[in-house]
Amino acid sequence: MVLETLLPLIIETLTFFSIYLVCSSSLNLQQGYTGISNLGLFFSISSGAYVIAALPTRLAVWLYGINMDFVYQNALVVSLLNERFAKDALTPTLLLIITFFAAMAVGGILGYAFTYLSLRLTETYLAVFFLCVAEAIKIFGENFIPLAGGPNGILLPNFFIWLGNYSWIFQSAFFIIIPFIIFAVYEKVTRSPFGRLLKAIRENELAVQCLGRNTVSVKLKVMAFTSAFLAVAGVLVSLRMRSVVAGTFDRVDYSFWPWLMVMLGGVGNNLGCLLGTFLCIIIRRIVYWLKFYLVFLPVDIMWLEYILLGLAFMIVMIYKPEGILPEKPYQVKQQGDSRSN
Amino acid sequence: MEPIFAAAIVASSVIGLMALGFTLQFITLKVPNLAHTTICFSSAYMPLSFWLFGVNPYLALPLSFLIGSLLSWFLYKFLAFLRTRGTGPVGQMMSSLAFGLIIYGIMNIYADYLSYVLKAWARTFTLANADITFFGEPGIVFLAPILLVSLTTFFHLILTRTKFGIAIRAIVQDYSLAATLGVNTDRALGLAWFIVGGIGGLAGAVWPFWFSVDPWTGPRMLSDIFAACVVGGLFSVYGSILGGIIVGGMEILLLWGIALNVGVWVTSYRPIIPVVIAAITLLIFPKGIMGSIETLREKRRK
Repeated sequence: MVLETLLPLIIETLTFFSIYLVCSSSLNLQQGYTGISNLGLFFSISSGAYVIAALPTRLAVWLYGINMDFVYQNALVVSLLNERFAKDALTPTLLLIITFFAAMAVGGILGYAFTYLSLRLTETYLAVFFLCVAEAIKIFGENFIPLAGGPNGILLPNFFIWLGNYSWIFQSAFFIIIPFIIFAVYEKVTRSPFGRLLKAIRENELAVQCLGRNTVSVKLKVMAFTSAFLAVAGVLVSLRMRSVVAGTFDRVDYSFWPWLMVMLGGVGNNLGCLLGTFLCIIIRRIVYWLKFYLVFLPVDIMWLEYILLGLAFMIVMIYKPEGILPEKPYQVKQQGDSRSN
Repeated sequence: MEPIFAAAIVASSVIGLMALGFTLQFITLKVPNLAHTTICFSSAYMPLSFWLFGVNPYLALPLSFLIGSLLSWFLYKFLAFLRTRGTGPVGQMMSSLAFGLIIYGIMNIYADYLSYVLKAWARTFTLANADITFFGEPGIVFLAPILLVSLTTFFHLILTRTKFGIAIRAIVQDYSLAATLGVNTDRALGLAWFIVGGIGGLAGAVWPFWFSVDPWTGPRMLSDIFAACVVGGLFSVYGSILGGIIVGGMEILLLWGIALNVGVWVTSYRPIIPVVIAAITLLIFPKGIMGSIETLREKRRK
């Protein structure tokens, strides 16, 4: 009985944690390893969400010959698609694969383009520029109805419905495994010579340029690469919610929380990032549950989350500016030397 | 006067005043204060409160100045404290954002309180109905540009005619050298942040006399202020005021022009305009107006 109650809660928290892990570890590669301050993390995430809102469902409508408008007759089309998907495993799977690749392409191109635009800005102004761009994209998504239903958003069909009773388990596993694969990729990249190049750029860009490296090109690659994975996070969020509402991809949820996760865990340390993400998710869950117990207050308790988030960040900056697990120097394994930490 | 031109005047004046504070705070601490616009608009709730209690909302302006000043000064103290502990610019910038979030949360709670307890429409409000009339025009149409001109002049005089202004300019040029030469950098910067915070608070407080305000207005307006700074020149206080006038005016008038030709639906995309302006400026003349003028001067000298 207890397990039946707790299991959905644990799995839900775990999926939430995994998706946020993509956001925080992407930010860690940008800020922690390369020194690119990105306050507009949510533009890449929302680009993935817009892709899943606009592409696979329209393709499905076209493939099945449904003569309806996906946006304006959304609920009806979604129920029809769910019926078709329940009997057809191949089409939704293929659509999902196409969506992931398309989201990565769109996220990567946008990340590259906006970084290219802002190369002339200094570190902190670059962060503000990204924030403004992300806000502009959010406003576009909120108002341009054909993209993601505008202010009301759009419902998505269940791409896993063909699994029947196993649908929920499979989806949860999917939401947990994919982020961890991305995390493993980041871990691999940061431990490679390329990762050491990123740290060198962060520490002294001019010195790296003097050694003949094109640091601009490296930064563009990092932004394109991480934005592509952030777009995947956007797809996962939308699949989990089974809807896309542009307004939900805001600076607090998808920029500021990942920043707190990275700063709390330890900048430039993937393990710290993992720990920071876990702790923040637990804090958010507690605040979420508190909402149900403090309904008697004359104010919306949701605002308490903002105050707590801001205070938590300031306390971290005062007492643990380097994070719980600070960055450790990485010793390169030499030939004939088995020691490395 | 056509309301659209009146709106452009108010927007230009207010954005110019806010951009002044944002740039000064940036060039003194080398950190963009991401809470600046939130601090500015937090004081917008003072005129509303006065109005709800039957007092002329214009009488709340001194209090709005004080709120903006105190919040800005407190934030400066916190950032200065972090700096002494070795926190870098990014950490300080994020701390300013965190501070902004706390204010945003408090503003929402206050708005909820006004809504639930006083049964007032406080989440999104305008004070246009509470405004006084001069020569058949709303008072804010005169007050906003007067505030811009007088406060800019006041600020210019402080910077150029007082010891405090010289100290500020010295700090901007070289912080360490100014401190070595005996300038009390902490007091000077604290006072500078206090003054520009107050100016921002005043600017935020007059905004609802023409436009609507909600707790998110401040964070949303960051794009406008950033665009103003980019257009004017990132490191020039006067440039940012000029940039604010241009961005504020263009945002209203350009949108009006487009809406007349394309359709009213385009007005919902208004917040995108400053970002587009900033992006185009960065591509074409990244140093902004004042930076480009400075480059031209350098060329002539050579």
